[in-house]
Amino acid sequence: MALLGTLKGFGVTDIFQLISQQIKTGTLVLTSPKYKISILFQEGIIKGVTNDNWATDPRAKVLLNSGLIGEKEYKAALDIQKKGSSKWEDILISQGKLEKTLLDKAANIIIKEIFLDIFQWKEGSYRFEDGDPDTEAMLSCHIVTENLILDTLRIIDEWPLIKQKIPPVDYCPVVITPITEEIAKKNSITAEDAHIFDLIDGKKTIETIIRESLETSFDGLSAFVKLIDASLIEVFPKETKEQIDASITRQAFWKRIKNASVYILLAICIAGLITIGHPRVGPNMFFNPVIKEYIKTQKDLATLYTTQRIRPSNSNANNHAH
Amino acid sequence: MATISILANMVPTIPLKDILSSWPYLSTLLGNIYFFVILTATLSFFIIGVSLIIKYAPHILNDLKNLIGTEIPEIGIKLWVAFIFLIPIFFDMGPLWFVLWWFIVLWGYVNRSEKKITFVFIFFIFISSWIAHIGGSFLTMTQTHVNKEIFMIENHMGSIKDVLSVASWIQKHPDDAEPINTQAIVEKRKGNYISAIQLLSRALDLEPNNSRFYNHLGIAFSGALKDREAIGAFKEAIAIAPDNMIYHYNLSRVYQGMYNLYDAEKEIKLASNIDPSRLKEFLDKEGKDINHRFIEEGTPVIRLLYRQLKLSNDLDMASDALWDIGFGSIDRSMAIWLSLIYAMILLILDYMPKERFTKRCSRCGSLYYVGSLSKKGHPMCLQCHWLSTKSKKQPDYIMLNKIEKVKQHRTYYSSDTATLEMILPGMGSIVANNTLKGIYRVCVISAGLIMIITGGQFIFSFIPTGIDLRSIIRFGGILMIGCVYLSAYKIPPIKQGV
Repeated sequence: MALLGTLKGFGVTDIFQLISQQIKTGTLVLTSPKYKISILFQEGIIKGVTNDNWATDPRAKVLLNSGLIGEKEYKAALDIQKKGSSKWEDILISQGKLEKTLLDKAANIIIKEIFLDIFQWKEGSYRFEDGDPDTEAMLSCHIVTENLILDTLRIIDEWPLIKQKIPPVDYCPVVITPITEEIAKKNSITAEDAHIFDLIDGKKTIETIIRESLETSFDGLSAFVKLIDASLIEVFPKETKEQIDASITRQAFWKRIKNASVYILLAICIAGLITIGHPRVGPNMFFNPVIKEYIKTQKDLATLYTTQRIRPSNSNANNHAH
Repeated sequence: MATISILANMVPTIPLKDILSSWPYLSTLLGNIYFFVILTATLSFFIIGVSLIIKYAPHILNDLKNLIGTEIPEIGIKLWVAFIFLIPIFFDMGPLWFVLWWFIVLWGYVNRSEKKITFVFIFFIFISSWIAHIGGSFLTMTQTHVNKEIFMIENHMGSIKDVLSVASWIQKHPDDAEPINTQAIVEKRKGNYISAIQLLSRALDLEPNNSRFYNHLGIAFSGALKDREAIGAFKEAIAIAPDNMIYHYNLSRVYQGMYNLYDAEKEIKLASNIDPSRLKEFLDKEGKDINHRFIEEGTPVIRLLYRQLKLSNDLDMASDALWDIGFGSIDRSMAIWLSLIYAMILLILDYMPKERFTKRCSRCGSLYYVGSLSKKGHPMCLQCHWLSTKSKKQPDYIMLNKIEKVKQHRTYYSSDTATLEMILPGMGSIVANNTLKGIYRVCVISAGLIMIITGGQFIFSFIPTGIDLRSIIRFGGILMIGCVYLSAYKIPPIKQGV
């Protein structure tokens, strides 16, 4: 046993960094109160991930949810898997019902979301041991550890920024302006954002589109936020075309009202404050007349004594007290 | 009105060091230094506040955008941000209210070292009432507690009006010993020794340990030809202040008058042991003028300075007016409460979740909410924090990308902050998280500006010195500002390429 401890003393990023720097090979087992995750490292590079809670292949669930494979097809492939040696995914690929790239993308989503989760663990324990875990249930991958750390930290950094702008996921996005090269450049639209944009048909909800896109929740939602910010799309409750059109008109009207209200409210606030407050204006803005008066008294006295030729050194002067 | 250079006439008899120990000059000098320091501090706080607005306004703008939504035009949100910062302008509030308000608005954004400035500011508010009181005392030094009259009479410059003022004051304030002593001096000079003795006895009843009063009593007794009583009074003075050579000298004069040359010589020796040069001066004066036989002792400067700090209506008015310039809107007596309430508000604001406030990574410049802090307490996004704490760097694509972003930000930031630094030294440093350097430069620039604008003259000595240092001080101010600009040019807030 090479490494053992709790996450309170040593953070997940530190453990990953250490394994990566030491170019270690072995399995890192992270245990939280909820579940246990095993990560396979080969010379410091992440080669696979497994979760104790996975009763079935998690990729299947992602593909089924996205509608990329049907329930029947999947069950049939599972039946064949039980009889023979081939795996369900190989069967579906050989049957031409599934593309290898989509399978990899599904795996990618699962792995990314697992890492995003474990990087935010505040309690739990870790154990790094030599040798491979049960590779049967392991999702294989090839991820450079430091890239993973940076990418996951970026998501943690940006998530609160995105979170505040996320629209309700059961709303339907509607295209307002098509993406042009200029717009894409101006708003830094990435290939992932464009992919999400392409899936918008006015009927699908945000949740459905993200599932179909095979992007992680973070990437999908941040793409939506970016598209809304760029005024390329707008979101509405799931309604008919007529209702959406009416809704767009209504929203445009309210938008104008909202815009105008920003200025009107500001003007009211300024007028109100001018009325109730007493702004410090005029010649005495920086100088109080009382102070002026006291300084003037000192000056006058100095002038008077100057004209009287009074000076402290002249003890024999005729200005005696008597 | 003819202006006469008093100093020109004084030079042969009073050296410059004695001028500085004279109450009107010392008080004026202290007052001018005091007002200069307070005004510099006030201006510095204001400039620091403006610098923090420049630094954090984009953060507030970002948070407001997130709060209101992207549909609202940016110009509208910017106007609202400007309005929020300028709210105190709508009330009768001085510049320090602005600073106070800005720190509240920016509290969620400011870093550790900037928070320390706020604590200093809270302390400044806490003591502001006393600051105004001390300032007021310099403004009203000639108008309170007959200080001016006491000084003028003691220094043979008093007029009938001054004598009447002292007499009137004694009637109204029978427990104030100092004017009674002054009145006694007047009576003694008139030759009314009995009256002087009565007044000094009254003063000594009020202040039994005042050696000066005993000295004057001794002189009065001597004038009344009561040598034995005079010896007793001088001995009392010596018992209280044995190191004061005047008392020994005066005692020796009494002995000499009684032809007790042995004791006279003994006292002269004692006086000589304490201050031989002064003794020589006294003996010379006595030789020239018999009126200088006994030496009177003027009220110590420290006592007059203390007296000018004593409460009076004029002092209250001046202090209130001074406080009004800085703060205003509420009464000066509320200053302590204001500071406590302010501290409490900031304490409550401190409990607001940090994730609610936008932060800008001090390394790569990206805006974020969660992040971490660098060793110096500057905000850092998680990626940069991880990169900076990494023990061994293994460059790969993402890391190189990030490092490139950091470099780009640094280049942009260094030119941006250098421009700000050249607009107003210190501002760029504060924006670049170089708070200490920023504060230093802001203070120097504030001091320089105050020197140029005022020439270092806020109050006037009621007995003119004939010296006008305003041009020199203004030149000093220009020099200071020039030096700060040169230093800002040579040492920008962020060095490029580092």
